[in-house]
Amino acid sequence: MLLVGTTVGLTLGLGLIVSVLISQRTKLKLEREKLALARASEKKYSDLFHNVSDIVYVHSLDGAILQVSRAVTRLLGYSSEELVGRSVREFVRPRYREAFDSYLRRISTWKSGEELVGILPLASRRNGELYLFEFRSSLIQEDSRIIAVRGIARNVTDRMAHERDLRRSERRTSALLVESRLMQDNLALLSREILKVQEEERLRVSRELHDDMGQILAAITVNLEIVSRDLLRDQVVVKKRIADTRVLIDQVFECVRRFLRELRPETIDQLGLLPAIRQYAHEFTDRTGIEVVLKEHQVVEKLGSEQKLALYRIAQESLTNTAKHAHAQCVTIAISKENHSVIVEIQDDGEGFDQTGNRRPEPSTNTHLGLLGMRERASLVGGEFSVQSRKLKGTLIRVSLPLQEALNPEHVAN
Amino acid sequence: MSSVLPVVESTNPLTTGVLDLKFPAIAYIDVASSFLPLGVGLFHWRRLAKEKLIFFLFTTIALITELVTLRMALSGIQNLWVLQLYNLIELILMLVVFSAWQKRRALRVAYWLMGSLFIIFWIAAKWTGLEKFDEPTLYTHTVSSTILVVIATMTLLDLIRSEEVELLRDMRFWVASGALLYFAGNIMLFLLSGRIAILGINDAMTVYSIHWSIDSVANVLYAGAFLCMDRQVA
Repeated sequence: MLLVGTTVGLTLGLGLIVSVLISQRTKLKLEREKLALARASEKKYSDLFHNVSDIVYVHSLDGAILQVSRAVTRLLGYSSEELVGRSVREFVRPRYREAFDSYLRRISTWKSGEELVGILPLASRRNGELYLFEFRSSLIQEDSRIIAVRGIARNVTDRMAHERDLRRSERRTSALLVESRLMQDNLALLSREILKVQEEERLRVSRELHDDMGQILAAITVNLEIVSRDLLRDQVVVKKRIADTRVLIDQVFECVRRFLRELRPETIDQLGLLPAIRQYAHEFTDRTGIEVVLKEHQVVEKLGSEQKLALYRIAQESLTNTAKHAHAQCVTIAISKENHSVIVEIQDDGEGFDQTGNRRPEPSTNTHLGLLGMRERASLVGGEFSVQSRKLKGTLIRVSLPLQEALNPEHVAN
Repeated sequence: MSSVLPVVESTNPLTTGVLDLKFPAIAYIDVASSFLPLGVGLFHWRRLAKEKLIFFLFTTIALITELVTLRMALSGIQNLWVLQLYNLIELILMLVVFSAWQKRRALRVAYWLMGSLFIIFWIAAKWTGLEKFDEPTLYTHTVSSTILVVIATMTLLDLIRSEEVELLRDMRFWVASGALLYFAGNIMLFLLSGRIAILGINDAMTVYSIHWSIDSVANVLYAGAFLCMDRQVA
């Protein structure tokens, strides 16, 4: 009985001790594994902490540096070891210390998860230069108690300088834009004046030609008629000379009339735009041999006289360009109505030109100026102008003019 | 921890004052092992404080009791009253040590409640004559051993739950293990000490050899406790 009791007691006692040892050993093993993991994690953290290009820091609530990454050496010339334990305040220039103190005071009112961002200049030990650092700080809490502040400080000196330059540049660009708009307005005004003066001059010249030269040529013709009637029958040679001269005078008449039509086609005012274009197209075909197909629409006659003149000039300029550069066989002038606008499309089957790429525009400078002039004319009467051209695919000029009733007072005034 | 053969005046042959009593080697080993915790404790004397000092006091008293009872046995003097007193001191000192390690207040109170009840029981046993001074520690030692087995077990279970990981360097483990082995292994012996006392000397020696063996192991474990002195025990 004694033996049994002792054996049982010893066995139970030993069993418990062995169990405790095994349990502790297992626990120890787990702890070691946890420790190894923690160490590995700590190493990773340490590597990350020290290898980031920005300064990573942990400071106490009174601003004492508790931990700082090695980037501080590269950026400010201090080793992280010599900074630990010192106050950040020591490295802040006196004029910025109040701002730093204010930051420290704010810590107590900070909320968890909140991030405080600020800029603080710090001096480099290497060259004494001030660098701007952007601080992003957040709280470290333990059991709802704030124990420290951690954050990242990034050198934003260059970024701030670039931003300053950018803002300056933006201001300059903005000023230039305003100036450019002003110049553009002035240029448009000037163009209008030039075109107006040009039309007035043409009108004056055409009147001069019509009134003076027409009268003179008529008088010469009458005189020649009288001289011819009074001549004797045997003065055949002289009569022939006179007849030749009359033919020449007729040619001069015709020349002057054409010139007058080009300068100021009275047909527009007297008969309307369509007959004027028709007549010009007819003469154009006679002169150049290029066929002109006119697709008419009476709506064009509802345009104002200035619009009609502009449209006539654009058609004139387009046909001239076609004759000069396009080597076309046929030109189609199509007039149509679209909502409250008159659309005129002038399409040729010529060589066209390349509008894309850097080789724009291929046509001569005169043609280019001609296009600009057409655009300006359209714009002056409240219209829109566009040109589409591709190499060997011909050129399409499209003008859209608002009908008189659709014009707003501003355009009418213009 | 005192383990010398108790000498009962009326029944044991040794009561006749025979001085040529021969103990087996394990008895001497046991006595020698009793010096071990004391020696190690003395070696670390300067670092002893609080419960460690009390434990050192316990081992010292145990050794003194060991030597005194041995001398008395060899002289054929009845030594049971020494063991009776030692039984009470042993429980109180061990309770002080274990309660100092117990972090939970409720358990500490429970320890002391058990200790108080035991003291009452011990006094009552003497008062009523249930267990006289000149009789083996039949009931009281069995009860005190049971209490200490429970407390040592609780201490070991606390250690499992404890965050302290290096058990072999923890004094609590060595002391609790020693106490557990000693008292769990000896409960039956204490319970039957009345009968053992009237056995013939040879049979008594055989039975006590088991006791001496367990005691030697316990002494080694207690000595181990003093080797962990560098570790701060919570």
